Amino acid sequence: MNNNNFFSKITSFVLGQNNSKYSQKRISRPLNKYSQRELLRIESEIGAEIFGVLPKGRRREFFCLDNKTWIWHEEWLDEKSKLQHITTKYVVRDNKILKSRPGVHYTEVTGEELKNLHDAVKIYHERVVRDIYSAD
Amino acid sequence: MSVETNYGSKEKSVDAARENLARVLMGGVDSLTQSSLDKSEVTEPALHSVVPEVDSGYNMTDEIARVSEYVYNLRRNSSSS
Repeated sequence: MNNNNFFSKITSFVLGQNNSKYSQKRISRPLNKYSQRELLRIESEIGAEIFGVLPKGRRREFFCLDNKTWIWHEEWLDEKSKLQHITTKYVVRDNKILKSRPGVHYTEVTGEELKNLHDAVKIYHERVVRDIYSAD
Repeated sequence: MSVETNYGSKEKSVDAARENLARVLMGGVDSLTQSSLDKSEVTEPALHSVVPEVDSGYNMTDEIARVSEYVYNLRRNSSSS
């Protein structure tokens, strides 16, 4: 299995294909009634919103997978209406942030990309705490 | 009227910054270096309006690690499973 399929399967497994049922009202019952996977789906909705409105035909996910991993996933239709997707994994390891993309070895995240990732993570943190974990 | 105009401009600027952030994180920009970014889309005021300033000496990697750990534990401790 190549990296691309592997990451896609992770994303599909964690998020499913349709998380719209969470959109209307994110938290409708006590938090301890949600599984970790359900909470992750709700977090991912928030993560996707951090970057603004998506163009029509695009789907985006951005979420904290575990205590060391962040996932960025994006899907879109190309000019031939063929579904394209890309998944990027950011891993915290040995005081570094490493990035993995399909077909590419791990590379260290530095400079502008590190700052942007940091900014996104901070916004994600603030929003999930406010919109999910403070709601109970 | 001028207030509305300014507000709209600011919102567009924030949207542009966010979308640029999305493009960068997505990896759609080769090497993700300064030179490959459209600097006109990342305006300093826009970025500062959504993200607090960081102190000198502040370690962004440490902060990402800290938030990762915190969010993961928060989810785990809040869930039913």
